[in-house]
Amino acid sequence: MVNSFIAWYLFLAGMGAGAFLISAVVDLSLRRWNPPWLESAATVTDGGMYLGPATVGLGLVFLLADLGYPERAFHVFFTPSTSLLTLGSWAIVAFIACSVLALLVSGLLATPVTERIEAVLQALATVFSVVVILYSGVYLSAFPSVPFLNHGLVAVVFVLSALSTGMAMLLVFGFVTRDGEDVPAGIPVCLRVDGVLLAAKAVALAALLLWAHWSDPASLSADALLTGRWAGLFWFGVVGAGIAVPMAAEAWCAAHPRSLAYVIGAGAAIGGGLCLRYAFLLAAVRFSAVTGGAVTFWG
Amino acid sequence: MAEQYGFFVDSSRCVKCWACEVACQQWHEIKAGTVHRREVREEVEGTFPEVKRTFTSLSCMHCENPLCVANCPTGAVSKREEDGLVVVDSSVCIGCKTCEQACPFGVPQYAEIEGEGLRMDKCDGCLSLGRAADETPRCVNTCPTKALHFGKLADMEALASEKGGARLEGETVPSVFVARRA
Repeated sequence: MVNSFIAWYLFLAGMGAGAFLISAVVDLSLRRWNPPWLESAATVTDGGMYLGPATVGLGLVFLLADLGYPERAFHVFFTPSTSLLTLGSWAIVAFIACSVLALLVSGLLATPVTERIEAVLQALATVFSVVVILYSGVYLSAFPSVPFLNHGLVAVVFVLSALSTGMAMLLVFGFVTRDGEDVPAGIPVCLRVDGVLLAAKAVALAALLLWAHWSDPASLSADALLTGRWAGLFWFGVVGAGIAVPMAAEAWCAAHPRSLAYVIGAGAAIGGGLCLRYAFLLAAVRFSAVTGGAVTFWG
Repeated sequence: MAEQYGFFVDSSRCVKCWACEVACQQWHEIKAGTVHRREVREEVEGTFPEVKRTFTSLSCMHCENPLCVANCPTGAVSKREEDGLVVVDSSVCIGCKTCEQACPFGVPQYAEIEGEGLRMDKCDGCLSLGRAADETPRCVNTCPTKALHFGKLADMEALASEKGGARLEGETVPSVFVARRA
């Protein structure tokens, strides 16, 4: 029912929308308030304005590829429905449309009118990026038949992972553009924010697994991640690459300001974000209310 | 909704002959190794020589509050006004599998149909075979021990109460009564 297409979609949409949201929050803040540290950070986070929609667009390709009938996907937009999938579909399309239009308008001759239009489009895209980040975790946690995912902390972990992988993508962008003016000054600011995001993700992940470990039958999934079949993926991928390596790289860079080690941490964080989606989907067990037995979830 | 229809499964009469499953597969031309709209489940209690086996033939519960309908983003899964049966309009199904994930009973199943891609499949009460309102589905017609019954839910409840049966429990309120072996 879920498969690699879904894991990649969750990863790419989260990372892209997360990168855009960070970028937009910095940009919108600069419209009212421009301390030097925020201006420096913007040289790194600005990449999210185009990397964000491009990555979410790529994620959308994976989502469509998972459908039995991708050519009928437009039905979602012409059917009145309160389903989370409908909300998410509208949010993805609206996010890509508004963010791309904002970019196009920003390329026009700067006048008060075009600046106002760009600000409105960017604000709308920001709202939609929040929905894109939120809805997938909420969707996965909505079904009691999958006990491990049926908890609000799943949505919290997905949101924090979206933001930390988004920041990681921006740090890679910062590494690529490190010769630009103010970029080296912006990197430490981003690293400090990323440290907070990673710590929050670690706490949320630990809280979720603690709850699951003591809750039957969610414990089946928690144990599969902690000590069972998926322990390698969890400890090396999710915890090691996704949290420990980036935190260590950030600590190193705090002590050695000229170091480029942050890009290793950012790369690991991106890989860890993908591992997180795979680990959660692979370890989740779906149960039938009739027999109480497990039924296929992955595959 | 006019009146909810549903099933009564009398496990005390079921001998696990699988005639219901076979009839369903045959009439709906479902290829082997793909999906099962109806399945006979077996529960075993006790140890030899005190063993009790209970067979229960189940398919879609045609719930009063079906989560598959509530979560379908295209309206492909709907609940009929006239009898409360939950049916699928394959022409607007996009194959997102949300219904499969939402159903607490694991009923909707996806199958690769040759030349048609993935398709969601579940019991439709044989409406796709042109079953008339006063007829019963093929599985019910075929059951040689009269363990399966179909009709207005009030009638199913009456039949079940005669056998000490009860409605299956669940937040979606399944339209199925089951009487278990004493």
